[in-house]
Amino acid sequence: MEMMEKAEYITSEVEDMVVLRNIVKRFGKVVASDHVNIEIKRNEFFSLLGPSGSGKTTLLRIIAGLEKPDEGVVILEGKDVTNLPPYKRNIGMVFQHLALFPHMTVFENIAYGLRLRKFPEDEIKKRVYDALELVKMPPEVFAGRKPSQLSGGQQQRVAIARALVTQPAVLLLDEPLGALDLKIRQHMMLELKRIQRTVGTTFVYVTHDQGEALVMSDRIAVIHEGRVEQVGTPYEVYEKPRTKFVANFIGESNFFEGILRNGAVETSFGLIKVISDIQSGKKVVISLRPERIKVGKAAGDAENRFEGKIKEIVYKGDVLIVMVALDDVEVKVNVPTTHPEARKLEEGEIIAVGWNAGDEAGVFELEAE
Amino acid sequence: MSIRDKVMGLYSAFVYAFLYVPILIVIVFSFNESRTLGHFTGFSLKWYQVLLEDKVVWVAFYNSLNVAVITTLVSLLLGTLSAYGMIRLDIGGKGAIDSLLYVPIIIPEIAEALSLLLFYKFSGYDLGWLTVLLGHIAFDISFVYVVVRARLAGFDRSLEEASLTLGANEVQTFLKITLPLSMPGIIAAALIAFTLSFDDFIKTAFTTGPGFQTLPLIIWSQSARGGVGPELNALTTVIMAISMTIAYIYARLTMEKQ
Amino acid sequence: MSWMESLIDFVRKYRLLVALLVLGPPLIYLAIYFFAPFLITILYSFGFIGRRGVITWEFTIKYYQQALRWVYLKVFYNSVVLAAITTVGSILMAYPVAYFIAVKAPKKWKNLLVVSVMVPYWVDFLLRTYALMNIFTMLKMMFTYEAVIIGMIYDYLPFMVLPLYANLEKLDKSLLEASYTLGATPLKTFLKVTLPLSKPGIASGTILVFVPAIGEFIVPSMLGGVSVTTIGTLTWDLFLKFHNWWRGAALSILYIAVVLVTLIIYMRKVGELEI
Repeated sequence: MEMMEKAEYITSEVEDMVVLRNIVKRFGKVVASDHVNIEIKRNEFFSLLGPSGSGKTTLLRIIAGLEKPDEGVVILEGKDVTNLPPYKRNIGMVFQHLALFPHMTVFENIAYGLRLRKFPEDEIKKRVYDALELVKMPPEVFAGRKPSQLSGGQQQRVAIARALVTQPAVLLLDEPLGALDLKIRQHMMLELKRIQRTVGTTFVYVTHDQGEALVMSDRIAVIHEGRVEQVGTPYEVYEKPRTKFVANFIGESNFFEGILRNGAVETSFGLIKVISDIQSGKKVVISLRPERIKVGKAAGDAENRFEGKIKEIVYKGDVLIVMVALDDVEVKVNVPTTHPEARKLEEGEIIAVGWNAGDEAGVFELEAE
Repeated sequence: MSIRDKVMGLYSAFVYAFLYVPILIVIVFSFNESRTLGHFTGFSLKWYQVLLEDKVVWVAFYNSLNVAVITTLVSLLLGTLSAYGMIRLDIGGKGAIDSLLYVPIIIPEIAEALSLLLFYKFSGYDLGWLTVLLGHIAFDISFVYVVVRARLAGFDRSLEEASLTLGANEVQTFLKITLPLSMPGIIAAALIAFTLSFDDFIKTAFTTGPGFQTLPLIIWSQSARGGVGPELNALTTVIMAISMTIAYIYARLTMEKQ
Repeated sequence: MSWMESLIDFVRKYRLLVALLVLGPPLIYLAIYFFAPFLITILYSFGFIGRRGVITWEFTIKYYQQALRWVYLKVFYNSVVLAAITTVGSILMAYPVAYFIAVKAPKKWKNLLVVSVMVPYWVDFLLRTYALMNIFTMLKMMFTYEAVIIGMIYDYLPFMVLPLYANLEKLDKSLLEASYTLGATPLKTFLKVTLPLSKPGIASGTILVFVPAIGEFIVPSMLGGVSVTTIGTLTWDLFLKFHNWWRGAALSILYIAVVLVTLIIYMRKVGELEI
């Protein structure tokens, strides 16, 4: 068994760009990283997703070398870099507040890393201009400007160009879109993805915004209280959350508690059929996405079918959010406004809701309290 | 603007006039042809002429400048060192050290001045240039410390981290990022150290000895018992012009940061 | 680059030594030329040091008894009264100005208005008090108590305006608007919202004016002549005229004690001091 694990590591390290092995980091009494193991592949857009204070930024700073882990190993391109300072690691980083040097022009900012690497001046100029082209900032216009003369989105692009121009093995991004307006943020998300595809560099992206993570990432690690809750593709973490935390943090969910017996959960409002390999007799919680619930006639032949009173309807443009009371439990249902019965729904009415056993996002064992 | 706002604006204008009219009067009468106060009989530079020909004034001017320049250089070095140390070093007892560095600003000048005098007498110093200088430096270190520290504290640490991730080591980062960005704070501190020393009176009066005079001491001894006069107005105008110009540059520098 | 790397290594390895090299010189300097003199002053005040600076080891509190004699207590009292008048006067003059700059003044004027207060802040009292002498001589007001009071307020005014302004500048203007929409008149809004929120500014200004004003020497001496005696002029006379260093030291220690007590009370109640 041990042998096999070892062998796996060796083969995986070749294609893994970043490996965090058993990382522990404490700040005083707070454990920011609790035995974290993550492997990030070459050319991957990898996100560290979690609420604020979950320890995701600490992990990024450990990869960068800005924090030293108390325990564990950091491997970059197959090389142990745990004890190397940032400037000896082949990385680039985009900071939360961008950290553009205010006393330098855009050109000087981007040329900074190249100058330190002693590139000849004509090579520096060429590379800086290429980097500006890559992030769609016409060099003739912007090269001579100071960061304070740029808009938020433009500063963003310069920060990315500066971090990429030295051709690092990994680009680390620490919530770089946080300060931008919604529209620009959405646009920059697509831009980041485009840039990543163009240059092919491994991106490690820290965010607390599940939307950003889902849109851009090849894979996501969900971080909670210093631990990795789940690593998977956006599809996996959304559709197949492995813990209740993941189901709750990513997207929206209805949660029903009950006792699991013979493929069904006894809840306060009735039996719910589920697919689960948890032992019979355990206390469990079911996660069910609001968009998976059918209403009206469509609910007719569902495996799980209940009737309840509509408590509230909220119009959101593309969907109606309908709150349905099943005994003492309120269920949130998303009904597309294109649904044939959508216009007839009214508060106070009795309505049927239903879903099949496979529609549940997950069934999780509740820890004994 | 409502009437209330206008009244407040007018009141403020009055207060500014209160601050600046006395200074203007000194300047105006330094150019007055006659000696009589309150009557401007004609424009003349003759009082400045008198100043220029006064050897005592020249010596005092040299002394003031000499003390102020050396004070500025030494307190800048020591004050900046302590500010960097306090912000960047990872050591215990910082709170206590910080309080120690603040004390000279809080203690009233006259108390500090007389204790220096007692110290010099006790230790057998000869009062004069050196004793004045040493006292000025002790006071200015704290001001430099406060000004530079404020600049460094308002400094985004991730700028230095960015430099590290771009391939610069700690020394390169300090030279290319930290130092240039803290320059405005260091310059501001130098300006403030200079003015505080250049026009200082009380500490100088207590710690100087026979034969060492600075410009403020001349004003003091000549204006004693209410002796205002055009020569003194001219001298005051010159010192104020120097101090206020430097203070103005300092004020602009610190305002820009915001 | 190797010298840089060896420097970095050195800093990493000998952290305490580096701290000593960086913080040592300024602290040692202050220890010798600021703190040691105060120690010496304390020794003088208890009579440990006799004439010609010889240590006598004769502990006595007679200089404190002398400093607490009725004549001196009266001087203390006069100084505190003068400082209090100065403080109140400068609050009355400074508050509307600070409020005007922070809240009402047009944006483009703001910087100039603040700078215009900062400039006199850094000019020594001697020069600014001398400037006043011209006017008082013209008005034949020299050597009067009124002249001293006006001079004190004149000199200390910037010390009050700046902390008040710093405080009012931070005031969230929407709080005032909220108060108006809730039906409060401008006067009510001022009394119930602005004034309570600006208390820390008033407190900072009071400390910056009141504490040094108690010991003020230049203004009472230049504008008051022999007619006004304060702790400042008394200290000056004891030291530079009568060379009674022991009594002067005791007086100064008492003054510093008053200053420190005031500051400690302030720190406990208000917290940080803005300078």
